[in-house]
Amino acid sequence: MNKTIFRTTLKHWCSSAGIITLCGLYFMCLLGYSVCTIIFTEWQLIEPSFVNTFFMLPFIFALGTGIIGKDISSGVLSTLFSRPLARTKYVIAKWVALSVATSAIAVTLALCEQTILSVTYLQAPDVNLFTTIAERVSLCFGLSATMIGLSSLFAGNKNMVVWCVLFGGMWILLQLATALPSMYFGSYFSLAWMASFTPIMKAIAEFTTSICLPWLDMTLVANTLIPSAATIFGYSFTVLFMLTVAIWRMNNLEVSYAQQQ
Amino acid sequence: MLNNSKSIKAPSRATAMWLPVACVILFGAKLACDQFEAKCPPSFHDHVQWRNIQDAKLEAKSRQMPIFEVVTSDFNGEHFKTLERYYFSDPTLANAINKDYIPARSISKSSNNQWGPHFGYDRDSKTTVDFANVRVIPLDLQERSCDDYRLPHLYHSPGFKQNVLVFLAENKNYNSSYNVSIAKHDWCKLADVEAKAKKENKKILYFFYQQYNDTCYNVMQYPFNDYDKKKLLDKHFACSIVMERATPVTKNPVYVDKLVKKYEVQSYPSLVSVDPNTGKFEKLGGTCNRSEIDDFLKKESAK
Repeated sequence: MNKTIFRTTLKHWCSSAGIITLCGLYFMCLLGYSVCTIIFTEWQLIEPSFVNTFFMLPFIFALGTGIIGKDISSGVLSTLFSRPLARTKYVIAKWVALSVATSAIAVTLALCEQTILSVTYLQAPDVNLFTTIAERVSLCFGLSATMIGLSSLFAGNKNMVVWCVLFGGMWILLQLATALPSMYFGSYFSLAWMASFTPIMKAIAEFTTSICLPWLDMTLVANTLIPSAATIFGYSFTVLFMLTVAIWRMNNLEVSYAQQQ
Repeated sequence: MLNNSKSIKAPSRATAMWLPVACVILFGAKLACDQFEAKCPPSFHDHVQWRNIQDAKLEAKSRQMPIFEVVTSDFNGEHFKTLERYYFSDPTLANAINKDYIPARSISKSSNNQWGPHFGYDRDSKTTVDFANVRVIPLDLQERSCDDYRLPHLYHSPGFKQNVLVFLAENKNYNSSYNVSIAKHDWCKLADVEAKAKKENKKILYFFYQQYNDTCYNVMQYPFNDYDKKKLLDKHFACSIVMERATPVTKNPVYVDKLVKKYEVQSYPSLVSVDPNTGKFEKLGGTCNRSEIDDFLKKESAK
């Protein structure tokens, strides 16, 4: 990992007023939501977490949109790669920077929630803080790899667009696949259709979800008598696959001033 | 003079071969584990100390504790796996269940209707002990409009565990004496309630109650468990139950329909406080929490 790129990437986010404002606003919204939940529902017992793991997505999107793609389209890469810099290290530095930054936000948010609960009830919350944090951090590292992989393939901010198309498209496809046959051919045909195509649809949904939302469901991973090895292998595969794609793409990308002109 | 002896070596642009190989191995391992787990699904730490339903009934009788009964259509099928995952593998929930309830498992034998397994109060007429079947509805019921459940929906969403904990805390003292307290209350007959209220200068309080509805039962029993509330009811209100019995097969008596129409009751349970002199009424409808009932009773008794 190249430490200079790691530091520069973090500094870039810290100096970007737009990103800080966006993340700050969202962070405040989530904390406000937590406080309102306590006040309005008159909860008397302690809940492990108000905030769903997937509420981390906007942070990752805010920081990860165009993380490499912008460097490609703006010509920064031409300058960077004219130096003796291993491209693999560049990709890894970017991934680590994005993961660390989003994980820091996730951990801070989890700790803030716990503090609010402790202050409200004047006792330490009876929660599995490790599980909550582990789930969120796994999502941060996993989705960062996906954003890096997509960003290396598509210049500019298109990685975000591609993610939306992949994930949204998959859901729309599944909804249509379920709804259309019953609309046009009646429920009997629909049932037969579903019975024969469900495994395929399930496979599509699983694959797209594992690529778009790689995370470790800690209920499955940590709370079982036999931890789900498939979940761990699936997660590791996605992270490594997306990083390999990014590294391969960077190593084969021809960037020069002549191309820019 | 430039020293070219230490030339800078250009970094390699070859992608390490072990990366795609590792990807293939991981993917293969995932597929293999998927196959294995489909055959032997991962089981969860079930922290609840289950009893046989017959043993649990005996224990409930001797210890005067409610039974936490889980009714599923099959013993170790998909329903129970889901419950295990979301409820019983959680140490906090399992502790609450073990501490305050007698957990029992049973299998429904009549699960072929559209509502899934049949649930009913288990009241032992011989021993006069009312077993509170703090039941868990199987997952397949969660999307249907069935009021007849007592635990919250089984969604794994923020807040769901809280709902269950609140439910367990509220019902842990639920035993036969509560039902007796409702039964022992000096209820007025619907035909007499207005005359009695006028005579004693009280308000009329109608409890619109739907038969077989557990939510109604919970709301109904609440004011009678609390000595102060019961005193408040006795002092300011002439209370009457309006039992809604309409089903696709049976019809309501005419006087019940009239009251439902008159007081615009749309949800059950509903508490309607009526001033017998002016005919003005106030209504608290739907699934209301305890503080709402308290506020309503206080407000109406102060008028």
